[in-house]
Amino acid sequence: MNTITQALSGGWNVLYTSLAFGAGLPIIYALAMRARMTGATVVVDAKGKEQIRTTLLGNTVAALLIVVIVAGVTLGIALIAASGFGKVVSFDSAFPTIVDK
Amino acid sequence: MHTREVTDGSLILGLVIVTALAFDFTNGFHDTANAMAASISTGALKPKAAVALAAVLNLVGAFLSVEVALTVTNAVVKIQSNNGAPVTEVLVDDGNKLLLVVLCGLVGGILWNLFTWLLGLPSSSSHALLGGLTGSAAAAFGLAGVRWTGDGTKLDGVVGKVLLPSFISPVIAMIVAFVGCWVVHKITNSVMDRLNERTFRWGQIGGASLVSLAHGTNDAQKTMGVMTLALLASGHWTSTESVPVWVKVSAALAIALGTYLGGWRIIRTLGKGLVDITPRQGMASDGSTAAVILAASHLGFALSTTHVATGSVLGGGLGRGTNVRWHTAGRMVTAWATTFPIAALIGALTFWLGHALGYTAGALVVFAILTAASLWMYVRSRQGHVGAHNVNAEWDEPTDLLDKDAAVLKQMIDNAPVEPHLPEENLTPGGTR
Repeated sequence: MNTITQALSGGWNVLYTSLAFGAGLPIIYALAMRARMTGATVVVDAKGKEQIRTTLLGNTVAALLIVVIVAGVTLGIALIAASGFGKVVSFDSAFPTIVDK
Repeated sequence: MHTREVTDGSLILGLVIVTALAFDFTNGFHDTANAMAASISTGALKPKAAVALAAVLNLVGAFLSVEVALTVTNAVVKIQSNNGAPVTEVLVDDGNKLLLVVLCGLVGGILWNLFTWLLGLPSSSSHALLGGLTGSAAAAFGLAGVRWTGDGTKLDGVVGKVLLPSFISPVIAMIVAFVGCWVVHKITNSVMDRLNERTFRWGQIGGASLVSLAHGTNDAQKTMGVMTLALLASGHWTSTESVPVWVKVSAALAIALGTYLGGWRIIRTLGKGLVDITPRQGMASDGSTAAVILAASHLGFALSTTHVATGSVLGGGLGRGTNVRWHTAGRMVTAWATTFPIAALIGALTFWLGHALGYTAGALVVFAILTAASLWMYVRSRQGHVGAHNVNAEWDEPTDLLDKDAAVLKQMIDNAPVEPHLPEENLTPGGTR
């Protein structure tokens, strides 16, 4: 019974952590794309091809959101690399830091 | 390090090393699908490019790890102490008994991996390995040698590290991918007239790359641990602080080569057989797989990459209301449920056979059985060959790849139109089909 409780509790921790990153990062990416396309217009160039013209504001917001995603992916790589070197990424301080296991 | 003349023990050790590398190779191609099936299916990456990327990242991942993973068997059996050295009770007959246990455990893992690959089913390579080792160790040292549960302080044993996670982890992945996919669609639906679906392939490739890297770090280590255990058992290695460099290099190369070969049959089932997904769904699926694997690894929750990847693909499909082929999902779940016990059974049976024949002759016979069975499955696989050229062919086959007549199957997956065999009345002018 204890094992089942531990498994459910472990699974719960995995669930909310991965919801934050696994669903969170794709959602931020979607927000970035939405921001980029909000206010964008379709123009026809000289060759008759349709092109999307985005706005500066949209692009800036999208770029900021992409930076958040890059930070998330960097954290992912740090987790993999740290475990390979017998270390863990600690979330005890304001910024994640790599510490001994 | 000891130096010894070539003895029976050295011969068995040689067979164990070759078999361990063979397992590592099957582990590579069996699991390519976990990282790359969704990217291949949505066209985010060309099939060959996807397996090449996965192979390189597996190689990097395998070398990224300097920590010694000697205690891989401790999750399920009690043949190693906490530092990875074999316990004295199992070091009988010059270590030959333990070598045979490891050999037969690996054989159980390989044969199940190959069989499920032949059926095109994603099943857990880790569970196959742990199952094989549990079976052979139980046959050699009795059921008392099996670690069923942990000591109460943490999740451990067959129940805590194999059984319960296989129920929990696909559900977690499914929820994460479902939520991600659903919200991503809500956010982007209104701008999709200006946005190309393919924009989302970058998110997908990023997630798939993280999965490949993590796979190389985790799974290559398991083979390194098993190989070093065999070297410790035979007295060819004494340190529990490090693994021989050649073990590391060979295991890294074997898993990368296996990954590059691409388990196309499994990639096809996971990428096309469950649901037909779009890049937006693929991004949600791969993001979920990467996050669940990394979160679980960070939190010390053992799970199988395969179960997570499958759960994510299903969640990504359901998140957009795409039709899920539940028949295929059901077959996968059957394969998951049977992986551990059947690999254990093969491990136990081959140990009993090998032990009855004497260590050297026994190991040779077990190795011969492995070779013969593997060759048979390879030949069988060529009858309905799936490769990079047809991995994305339309999925119109709900049943087993092998249930289909070979000639019909070949036509089908070559995407060649099969001559419809219609009843005569339907061929009359104006007749409707």
